[in-house]
Amino acid sequence: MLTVSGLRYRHGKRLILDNVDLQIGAGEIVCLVGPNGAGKSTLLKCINRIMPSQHAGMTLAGENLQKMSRRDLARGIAYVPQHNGSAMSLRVADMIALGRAPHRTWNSGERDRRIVLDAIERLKLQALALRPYDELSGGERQRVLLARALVQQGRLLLLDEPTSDLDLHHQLEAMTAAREIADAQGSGVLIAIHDLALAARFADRLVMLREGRVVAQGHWREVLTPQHIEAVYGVTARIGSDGDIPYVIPLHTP
Amino acid sequence: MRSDRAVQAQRQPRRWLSLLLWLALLAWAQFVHAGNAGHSLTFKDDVGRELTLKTPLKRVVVFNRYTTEFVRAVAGMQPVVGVDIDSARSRNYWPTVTPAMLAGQGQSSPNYEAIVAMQPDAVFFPRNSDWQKAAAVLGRFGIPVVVVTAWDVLRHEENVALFGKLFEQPQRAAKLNAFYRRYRDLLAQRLQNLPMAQRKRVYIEEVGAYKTLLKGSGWHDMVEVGGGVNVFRDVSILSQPSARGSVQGFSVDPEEVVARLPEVIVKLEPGQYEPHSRAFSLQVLEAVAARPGFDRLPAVRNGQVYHISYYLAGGCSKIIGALQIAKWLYPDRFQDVDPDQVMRTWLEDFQQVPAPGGYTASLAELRK
Amino acid sequence: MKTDFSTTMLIQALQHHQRRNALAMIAGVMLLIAAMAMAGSLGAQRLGMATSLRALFAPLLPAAWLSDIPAWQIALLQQLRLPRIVMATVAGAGLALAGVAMQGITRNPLVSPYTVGISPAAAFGASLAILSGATGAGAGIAGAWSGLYLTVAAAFASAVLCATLVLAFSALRGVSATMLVLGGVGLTYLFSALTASVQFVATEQQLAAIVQWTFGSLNGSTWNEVAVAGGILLLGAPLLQWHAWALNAFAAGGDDIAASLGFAVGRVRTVVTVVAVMITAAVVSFTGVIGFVGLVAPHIARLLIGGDHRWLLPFSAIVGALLVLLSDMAGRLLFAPVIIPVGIVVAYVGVPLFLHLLLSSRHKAGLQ
Repeated sequence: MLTVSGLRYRHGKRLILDNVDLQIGAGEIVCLVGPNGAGKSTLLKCINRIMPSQHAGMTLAGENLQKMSRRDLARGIAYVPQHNGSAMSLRVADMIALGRAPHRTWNSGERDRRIVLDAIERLKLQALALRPYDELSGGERQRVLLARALVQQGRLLLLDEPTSDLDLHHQLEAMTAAREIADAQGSGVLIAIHDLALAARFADRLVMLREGRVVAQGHWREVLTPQHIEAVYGVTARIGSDGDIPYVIPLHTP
Repeated sequence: MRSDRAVQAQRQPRRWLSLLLWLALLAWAQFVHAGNAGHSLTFKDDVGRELTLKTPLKRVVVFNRYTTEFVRAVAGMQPVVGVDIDSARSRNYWPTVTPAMLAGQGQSSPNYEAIVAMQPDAVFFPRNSDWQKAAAVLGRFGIPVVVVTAWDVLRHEENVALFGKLFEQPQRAAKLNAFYRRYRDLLAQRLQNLPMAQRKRVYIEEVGAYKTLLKGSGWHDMVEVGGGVNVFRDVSILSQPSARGSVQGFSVDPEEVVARLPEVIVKLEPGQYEPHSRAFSLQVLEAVAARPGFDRLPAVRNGQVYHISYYLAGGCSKIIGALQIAKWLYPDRFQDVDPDQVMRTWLEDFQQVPAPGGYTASLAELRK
Repeated sequence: MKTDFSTTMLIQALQHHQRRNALAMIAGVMLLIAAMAMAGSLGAQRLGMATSLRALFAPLLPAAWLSDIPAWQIALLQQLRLPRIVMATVAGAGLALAGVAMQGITRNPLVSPYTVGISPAAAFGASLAILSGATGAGAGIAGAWSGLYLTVAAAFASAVLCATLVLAFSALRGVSATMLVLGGVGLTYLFSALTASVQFVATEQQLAAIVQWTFGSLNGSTWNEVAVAGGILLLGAPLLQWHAWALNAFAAGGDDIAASLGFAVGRVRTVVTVVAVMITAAVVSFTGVIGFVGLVAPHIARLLIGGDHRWLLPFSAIVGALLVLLSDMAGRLLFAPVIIPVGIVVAYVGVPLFLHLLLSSRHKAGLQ
């Protein structure tokens, strides 16, 4: 689905991303982990061309990402950002409907409506649909943004720290929803996330970043090793799994 | 065959007849040319527009008090159907003005609907107004706008003469101009042999403290026509930083005022038809006298600090104000002149209102 | 796909919401028409509704129906009142639209055509024109026409210059919301200071004209002015409506989200800004500064109809038009025949309304 090779991003004199290679297949969830400032958000924004990267090695379903028009890009990639402030009185239904913007034509009204209703149903937002977005709690807002990404029907879904502001319940909910979207639509999903255990639990593959470089890629058991964690986070940790569910316990700093 | 003389005798009456016919024709042509009923006048207004109006004007809307005063002096209030708020407010000074005659806030914001409803023959605006807009709007209703700047003392005689023609009151216009000219010439005459070195130095201040008036302002001219020498007459506004103001209100350093040692101080205060109370005048004058450094001034020592209402000073193109100043400065030269009496004449004869008197006060007098 | 009961209810709720919005729009339009009709019949001259309607359609009606209405009343309605009413509508709608658009692309509810510097810039341009002396005091015939339009042209040029500066600065650092707001605020202060400087050095007469201009007035609006301002509004409004979805995207999350949804952020922002500026400049150049409408009409509209720009844009226009129209009526009638400039009344009318809605509404209008 998505191939990134040799991606570089320079901001002023600093090299923020250096020679990043990445692949995501259809229906695959890849979690991007790494410490603060590793460049996770930046990488997502470069893939989405919100930030201009200095390398042309990106393809989406075979097409050259760099050469796509804005509209085609929006049809291909759905992006859920990290922070979301006020939405100036927009209602939830309107927020979700925005996801259809890149697909709208003069006669697509009816179809767009159905898709939006579908997403509302799937994410159980019926009761909230006509409320102003600003009045919702963090967890509810996250669901709305996911619904918007859903209606965008992109082949690639980019999620930037979707669980940082959520409680346990909503964290699980959000990640489960991402899994469902990947399964239902066959989209590739790339999630930048802090929580290593959650990442390991839901991802098909992990990519660990440090100071703009890919340090490790692959199954969580290969990536989340005590050596990697110490090298990247500077923390001694114990990694294990309770049945199928992985856990990471930070012990102490050396 | 007739003799030549007989032929001549026959031609004579014919010549007279043809001459009479020609005269009749000319007279008739004049009438036709002048319009059907009444006459018309072609003239240039204050901003150079050429206008032709039917005279006499029977219904006019007048903006600006000075203009209304002139109209009243020349034609009475009968032709005035609309005024600005200034005239509508002073019930005592304008007893014949009713609220229905109000035509808007003033010359900068006329109420066009009210004006149109009054169906005037002409509307008078001074040149410091939005006359272009008014002319454009009222022109669509066939109502002519005449720009007349009555507060411009340099155009006094022209303006008055124009009113005389427009209202077909040439005698009253002549009477007003004669009144004005008499005192203007009187001042010029009595002061002509007074050398500059002997003229009294006057510090003239407007309502704001330490704001004086410079060459280019009508009040400065009033002082100089009255024989005084403005202590700040050497200041040219063009070479001054604009932050200090304009000729109508120029900020001066208090120390500078003291340094120039004025012999007379004239303080202008805004006023209306009703004169200021003595208490108010005293307060103003004492405040001036009490300013730091002023006790050294000859003006204060002699009590020659005068309080004059803009109202008197501005009357009849400031000639009365000039007269009053001349009387203060050179009482011996103007012993026989009574400015109060002149003001009385202006108010009673020309403005048809009683004269209350008391528009000026002097410190010396109030201290007694 | 309506398998879920709650989804069925949602669909009904959505339809109900849609219908409610449509009704609100229709009610707004009808209210506007009623207000226009009322404004037509009221004024310094009270014309009955029937009379004013007849006068309105005079060219289409047989002469017999109009025989009892004097010609000047018809002219008054068609040449004075009607252009004024239409201008009020155009001004209110235009300023409100510009306000919504600017608030949308900057995601800042405190933004208005005023705070981004356009109105102060226009005021400065106008004051320069007045100061140059080509508009009023001392102008000759040549000054008449040019004076009338010089102020307008100067105001327009100045407003456009300001907007160009703001956009240019923003372009250097990326056309971001913050740049627009900060640049605009900076220029607001700059132009206000420049205007104040002009006022400081102006003569009394010029000062009065300048201050008058900053009040914002619809007095003497002509059909020509209406045509120009209205024309620009008719061109700009559909352009803004075309970008309603883009404005929603900006409101939803800012530049990143809008870009990720396929909108060309820089281009949209530039286009919307240019259109908003042109509309504002067109209105303000003729009427003077009418503040507050651009800020508060969008908020009132948002409180009533929500933040979806497809509805918000037209509804704001209606709210703005109503606000200015009613304010102008109040200004004309309260102290008739003195007309209080609409720029002053708008705040008196709008603030209580706004506060009332704010306090009684259950939703916060995005002012967190």
